[in-house]
Amino acid sequence: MNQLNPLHIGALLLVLLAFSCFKLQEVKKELLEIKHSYHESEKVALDLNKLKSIYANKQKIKHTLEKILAYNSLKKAHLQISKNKTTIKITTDSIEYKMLNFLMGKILNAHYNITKLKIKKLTDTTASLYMEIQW
Amino acid sequence: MIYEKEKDITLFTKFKRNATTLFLDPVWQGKQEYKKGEKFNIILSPSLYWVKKVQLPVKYLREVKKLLPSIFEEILPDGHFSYSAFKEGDSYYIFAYEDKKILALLEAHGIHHSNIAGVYFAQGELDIEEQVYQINETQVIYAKDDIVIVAPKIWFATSVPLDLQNHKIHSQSITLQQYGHIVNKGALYKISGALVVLIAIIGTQIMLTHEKINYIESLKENIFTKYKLYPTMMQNRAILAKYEGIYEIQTKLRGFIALFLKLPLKKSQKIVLLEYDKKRLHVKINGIKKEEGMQVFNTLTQAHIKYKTHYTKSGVIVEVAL
Repeated sequence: MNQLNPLHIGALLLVLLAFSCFKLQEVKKELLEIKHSYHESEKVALDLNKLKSIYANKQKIKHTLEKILAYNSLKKAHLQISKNKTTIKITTDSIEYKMLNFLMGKILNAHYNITKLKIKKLTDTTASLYMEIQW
Repeated sequence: MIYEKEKDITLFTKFKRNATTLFLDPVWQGKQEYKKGEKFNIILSPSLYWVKKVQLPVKYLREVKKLLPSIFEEILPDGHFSYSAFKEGDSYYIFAYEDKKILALLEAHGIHHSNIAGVYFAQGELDIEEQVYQINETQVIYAKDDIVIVAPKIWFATSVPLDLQNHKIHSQSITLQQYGHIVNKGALYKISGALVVLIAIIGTQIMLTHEKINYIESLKENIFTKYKLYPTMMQNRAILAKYEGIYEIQTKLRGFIALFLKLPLKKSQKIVLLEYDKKRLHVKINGIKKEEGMQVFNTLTQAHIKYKTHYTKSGVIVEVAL
């Protein structure tokens, strides 16, 4: 015949309700955090992917540079190209301004990571060039 | 309270327990002595309830129970009553009783509600026909018009003591509401129901939110796999910052070179050296005197570029930090 006090049942239900409200707030907070984290990851991933494809894609850099250097207008420039694991060096003791303008126009208009550059006027029509591009 | 005897109650032949049958009489003042864990079947004296024999045009007992408060409304004193009914032939025996009063009486006799096996009305439980039973020194019970009632002993010339020694319980037990006076049962059910529903809704919300979290986490994992990211966001942020730095420097380098090439130089003024190394750009321009510098480099000033100038005999060297 022992019975539960209805006030105890009510109190238990209220405690349960309070606990579930608290739990709901917690999971909602967690959801907001995970949403924020997801959007951040997505943004970082897209930006990183875009920038990596510009500055860290060796094949692409090599291919586009070879394309530029293969232009007829640069064939007489006697450009010396040397590559190592991290950089490509383009040098010449003397290059005509026309060719230099063409070359620099192509390189500066593309997304290469130029780490060193030295253009020195030799005569009214020629200059020397030293350039390092990191890949 | 009189006349007791242990009897066996067999439940499904497997579980067995002993219960003593007691007649609960408000006149008796003593204390009931019993062993720990002993159970009692309580038969209520007619003094502890109101009873009516009625004929109602309803088919089911549950329909009768709904009508009970209104049937007793006019005869009951103030208090919190519970109701019960059973059918016999075409008639219904209907009861009203005060749980609190009965429980208090049991408590007064030293019987805790945990020791109660069942509670029964004398009406229905005791088969009194022509006999008059003595329930205490001054009172008897007897049946009048099929209703068991209490009467003074002196009304009757003879009476026999009520003997429950071999009594076998055969009517339906009622449940005494220990807390019925605190909260209205109906209201309690409604409030409890509403709370349970609310808890269930919140529980469902929690479950759905967890599912959303799991789904977004799987999407996040897909991003890491698809874009070949490093395991931690800290690493990825650091690498992104490095590439963003490169992008910023390269954009500035191109912008500064373009600005220098657009400087308003005279024919005698020529750029003879353009050098970039360790994030510094040096441009040497021949033929510029110090007094002409301000005018020539006005473009840089307008573009809010910080630069340093070093004048030599032949011209000026301009240094810009990227």
